[in-house]
Amino acid sequence: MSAVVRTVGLAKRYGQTLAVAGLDLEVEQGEIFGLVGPNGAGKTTTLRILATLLEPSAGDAEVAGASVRRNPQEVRRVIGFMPDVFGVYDDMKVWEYLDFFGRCYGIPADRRRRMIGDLLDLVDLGDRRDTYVQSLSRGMQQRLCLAHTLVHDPQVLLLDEPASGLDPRARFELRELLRELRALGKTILISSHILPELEELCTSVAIVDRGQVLAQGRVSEIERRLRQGAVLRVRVLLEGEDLDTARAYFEAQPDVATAVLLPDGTIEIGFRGDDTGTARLLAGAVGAGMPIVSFARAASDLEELFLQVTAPDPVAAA
Amino acid sequence: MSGPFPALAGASAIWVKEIRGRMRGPRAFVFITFYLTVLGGLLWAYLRTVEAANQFGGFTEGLPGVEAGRAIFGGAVAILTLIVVALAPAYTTGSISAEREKQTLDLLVVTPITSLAIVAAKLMSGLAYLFLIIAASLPMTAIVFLFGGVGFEDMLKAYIVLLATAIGLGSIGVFYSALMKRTQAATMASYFTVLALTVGALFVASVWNVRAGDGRMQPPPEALLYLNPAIAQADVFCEMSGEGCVTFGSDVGSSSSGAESGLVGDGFEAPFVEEPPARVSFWPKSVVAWLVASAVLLFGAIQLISPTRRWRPLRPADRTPNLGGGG
Repeated sequence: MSAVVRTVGLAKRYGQTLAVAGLDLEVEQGEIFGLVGPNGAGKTTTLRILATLLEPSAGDAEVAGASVRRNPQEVRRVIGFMPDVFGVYDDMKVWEYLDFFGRCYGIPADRRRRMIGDLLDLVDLGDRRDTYVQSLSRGMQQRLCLAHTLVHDPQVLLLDEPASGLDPRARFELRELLRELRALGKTILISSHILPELEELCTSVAIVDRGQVLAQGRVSEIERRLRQGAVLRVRVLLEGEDLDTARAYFEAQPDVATAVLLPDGTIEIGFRGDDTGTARLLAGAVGAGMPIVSFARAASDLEELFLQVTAPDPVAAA
Repeated sequence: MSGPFPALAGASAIWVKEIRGRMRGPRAFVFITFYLTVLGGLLWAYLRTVEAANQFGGFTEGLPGVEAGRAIFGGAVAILTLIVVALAPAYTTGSISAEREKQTLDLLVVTPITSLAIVAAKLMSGLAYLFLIIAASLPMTAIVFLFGGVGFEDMLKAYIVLLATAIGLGSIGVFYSALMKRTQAATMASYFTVLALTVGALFVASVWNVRAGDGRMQPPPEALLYLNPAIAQADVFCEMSGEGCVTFGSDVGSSSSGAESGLVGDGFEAPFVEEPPARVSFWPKSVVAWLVASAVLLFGAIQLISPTRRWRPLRPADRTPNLGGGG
């Protein structure tokens, strides 16, 4: 696997404000890479530098081997960029919109005709071909904008908050579409505030804050690095004092660091043991006559990781 | 994307989009029909007025053919000049700022189309409709050939001045459109500049002489009026008829009779010098000045919309690490 997108010491300064402060990123071929961070973390600035819309104040970035500083024209040929806030030409039909961008990339007329049909089918707008762009719904416009990034079959897609403003159905459709694009071999760099979505979608993430990468890698890897052991969630068919007795039972078991009773009656166990230890813990509880309804390892929670990493002292947390 | 002019590759995409948008529906065609009707009506009314004035002045048989031809030609060129002055900035002043307002400029800039191609295409597509209007008026102005007194080269000169003026004024619109975020602000700035170049320059020229009014005629510098389309067209008319000549201290002409055409206007006597030794055409200087101004303004617009690679004397190359990749 080779890095298709690479930044080294990337920095962008607006007057006294350092929006991106020495960002180092590596995104490998075929990944869906999520940029996660609070508002003002530098996600949009980073994507705009990669899209050659901003010149870095220091450092450099390469997309498919082309430097955004030295060869922005080459970078533009290999990327498809969808900004966080985008408009549409209000006096164009859907097919004309894609035709226009096809011409911008110098695609010959016969290929353009085929490409427009294929892309409209891909984003499920085939039946809207002759509709004026401004009369499309927000979700449809979002899909059309995504389609326009694909007219020249780019290697890398840079998508800045592509799901913002979409209803749950449209988000689901967008997610499916991105998976399909990944299957087609595209490398996708995506920023979003909707963390559960990124968690489901992304193969890797970078948690960014104040213009710096705080953690980078696969979600499970980051979790392993940040957490000592696993979190188990147990639901038992008990109430009141019996429930507290059950919590105390778990707390007394080997390898259990903590056992906390959550407001919904679930017992959350901080567990240092391995899978065998987990099985032993469950068997022991059942053997002790505890009426267990569910016993599961808590799923990776990007939101939780994000909060942990971007806490006031993230370095210590990491 | 290559072709003979790689820097202009992709410009046709913008051109096609803009023209397609402008010519969609009946609006554009209705406007041209309306414009030609009004132009024809105005020329007819102008001819009748000149005829009446000449009859009143002693031409009982009506206006002689040559005079009628020149009168129609002068009127047509004056109307076309007014149209160019009024519409050229209007058609270009929203070319880039509207893209910003619609938030579509980023989508355009990240394509491989160069900033030069974007600016050139915006200018030419903005002016294309204006050129169509000017071209549509050609058959009407060609009527003057039936009357005589106006040669093909006279008409060619007038249209060259018109086109150069349109390109120059359109470039002003494109420049402000690139400079300002809002189309409204760009429009105001464009028209303020146009006003300064036309009315303002004439006013300064006349004030210039009033100030120097110590009994000695001191004309204003010629360059002050280079970008004034009315003066350039008056010069074309002068070369054709010997009337309405505008002359300056440095290159006054023998053909100047001191008579004024309606183009220059009464009261603008300051630049006139009696008994000129030789005359150098003013209109070619005006054309060159417009083209130079246009080039400068378009260069500025290119710099303003280019997200990277803006011209600067020194680049911070020392802060750029080598990633070891191609590019």
